[in-house]
Amino acid sequence: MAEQYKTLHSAKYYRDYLKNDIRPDCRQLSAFRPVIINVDSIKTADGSAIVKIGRTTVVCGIKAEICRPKPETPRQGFLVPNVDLPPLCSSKFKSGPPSDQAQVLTQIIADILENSRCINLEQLCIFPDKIAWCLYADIICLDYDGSLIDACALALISCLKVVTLPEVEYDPGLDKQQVNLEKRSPLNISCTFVATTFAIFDDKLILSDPSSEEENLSAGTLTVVTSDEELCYMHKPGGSPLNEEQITKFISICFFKLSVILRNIATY
Amino acid sequence: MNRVVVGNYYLPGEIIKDIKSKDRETIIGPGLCRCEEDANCLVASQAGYLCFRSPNTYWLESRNNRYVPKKTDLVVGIITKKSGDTLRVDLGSAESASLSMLAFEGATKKIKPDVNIGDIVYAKVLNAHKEMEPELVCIDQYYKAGRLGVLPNNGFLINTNQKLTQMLLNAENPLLRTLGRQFPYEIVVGVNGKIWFRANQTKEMLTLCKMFEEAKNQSDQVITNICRQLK
Amino acid sequence: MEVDTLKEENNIDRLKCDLGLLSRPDGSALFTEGQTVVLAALYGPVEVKMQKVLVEKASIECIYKPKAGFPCVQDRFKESFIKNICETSLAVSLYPRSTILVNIQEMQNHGQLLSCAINAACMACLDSGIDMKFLFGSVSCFLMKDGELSLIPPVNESSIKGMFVFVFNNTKGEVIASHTEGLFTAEQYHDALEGGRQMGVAAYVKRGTRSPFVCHLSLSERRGGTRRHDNDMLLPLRPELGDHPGYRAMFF
Repeated sequence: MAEQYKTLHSAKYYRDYLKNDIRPDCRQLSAFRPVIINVDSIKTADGSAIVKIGRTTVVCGIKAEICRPKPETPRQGFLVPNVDLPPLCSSKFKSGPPSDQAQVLTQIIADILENSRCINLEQLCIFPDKIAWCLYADIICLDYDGSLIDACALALISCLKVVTLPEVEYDPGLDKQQVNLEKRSPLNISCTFVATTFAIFDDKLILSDPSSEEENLSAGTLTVVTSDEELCYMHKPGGSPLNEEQITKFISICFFKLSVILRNIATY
Repeated sequence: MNRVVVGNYYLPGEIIKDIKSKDRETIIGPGLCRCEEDANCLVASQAGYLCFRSPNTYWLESRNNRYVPKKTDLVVGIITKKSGDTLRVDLGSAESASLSMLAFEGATKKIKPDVNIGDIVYAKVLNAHKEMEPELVCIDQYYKAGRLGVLPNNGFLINTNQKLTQMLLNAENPLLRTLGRQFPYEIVVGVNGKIWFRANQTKEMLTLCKMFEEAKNQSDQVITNICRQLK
Repeated sequence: MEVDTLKEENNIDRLKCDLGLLSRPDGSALFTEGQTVVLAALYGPVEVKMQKVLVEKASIECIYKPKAGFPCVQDRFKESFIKNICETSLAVSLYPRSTILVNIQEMQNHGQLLSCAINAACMACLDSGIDMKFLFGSVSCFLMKDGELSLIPPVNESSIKGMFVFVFNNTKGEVIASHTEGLFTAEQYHDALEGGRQMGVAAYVKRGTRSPFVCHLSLSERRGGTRRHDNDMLLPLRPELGDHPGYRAMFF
């Protein structure tokens, strides 16, 4: 019976649960889903991470290539994130060129990366104006169940922390490079960012870490990205209007979550 | 008829307080919607001047560029498709309207009117609801055509805005009368912003065409003044 | 008369808007914020494509065209951002099974592109006469390296530490959308939010101190639907139909 009720009146079904301060998946309104991070499981990549937030599963792999730096930034390498939402992860996505949502997500992840300044691109330069590392960070969603920005950001930062790059010797006179695959060194990541998504249900109820169902039913989402002591992204694309007190509350929740996640990341 | 009172200028989202009602009822027209928080308030959903007719009717006089069909509107449309017994008519609205072949005067299953794709019709909106496609008829409730029906081929159709057509349809507007004193012409004004007309000479047709183009950008008062000069 | 109202507030004089420049779209607006210029045009509600049809509301499509070159991933982001804002503020449930097309053309970029594009979109919606739940206005706020906040983009780009774009509604002045660049603290975010609301958009979205371009609209309405504005407006883009000598000759 509940199943039919849920299909026919999904919003009302949720409202009935939320009235009693509980969500259909037995979470409190402000509770987060369990997060699992698994790093370096893909041996062919230079660094990898798998992140699960509830059922949302995201894989991030970083592949390093040697390329020539841009003439305008001769001392910098590249870090190119790309988010892929294959038809595998949800029936919402079709095969073919990247969907609008995937492109928007790629842009958001690139923005977060740039804003947080967690990686100094100069460390990717091997020899100025000649050769540099280009890191392709491919983020693939395997299972789509909401809060995708959170999962992608977490996968990317965990992945960046475990990337190791082989040593390269470059002779500018001969224009020759020698890669020493045995000797690898990690990147210097200056900060850790954590994204937290909230959904606004019925203009007033706040659901932390929404599932895809909750995202669909709610009138807008808000994503806050915190990095150490500071904020590096406040993304609210339309949806229900919010006032200041609500935003303050969000920020404090985010800093709390950041501390929890940091403690977890620190263990590996 | 009660006098229309024109009030303040409102923008979408602004709240109109202290509305009058009769027997706890208020009639609201285009551009307004009910305020959810306070029963005695309205919310503007378009930009325009608030109009009020006693005892309890409110609407917002705004500029609407895209036609949204309303029941009983008299419209001018172009036949775009013919499939079986129904015709599709383009009114300039989001969805094309349907017009039955049987909705013409004297039409039966056997005797069908001579309507072709590209013809222009003057019709009445029988049904209009946001969830359904609009339906047109070319007959009145007594099955008579009156002035409705297919318009002759030697006319000319122009697309203007709804503001101009409303202005032309106002009985007090002098423009059409003044023009009529200069030369004879025939005109059909649809509230959907389409105007069909014909005159004896091409020159006169062009004059009409340019007059409407000009009138579109002028206020009522300017037009009245110019018309006065013409007399 | 517009010039006087423009000068009233320091930041408002950087805003200009010209409505109804284009004849084909249902609503159009040229919005200028300082040196940033964006042209927006709205078609709608129009017929919907089969794969995009929504039975309970109108689907909104936003197309963003950069000044030069093809739209890239960044522009997709802007499209989706503006589309979401329009979805929130337009009364989409009144137009089921139809599409509302919002076209944004970047003309000049001087730092406040996103907020200018959002304002242009709002003005185009207003000009088209489509039903809206509320108006929205956007403001960009720049955070300098020395911690100061400014609503005007600084001449020296390297002195910017962060940028905030806020979108407010005109009913309660609440935040309907937010976008940020750079690192900042929670206090700075609040200061920017408060500052943005007070100095920038509030004047335009709140009643009473209505800003020049909304004044413009009401003035033009008062003039009986004239959609041409006085010569103090900026670009010579405006179709001068009524002023053409040929028309005058025809008329008298």
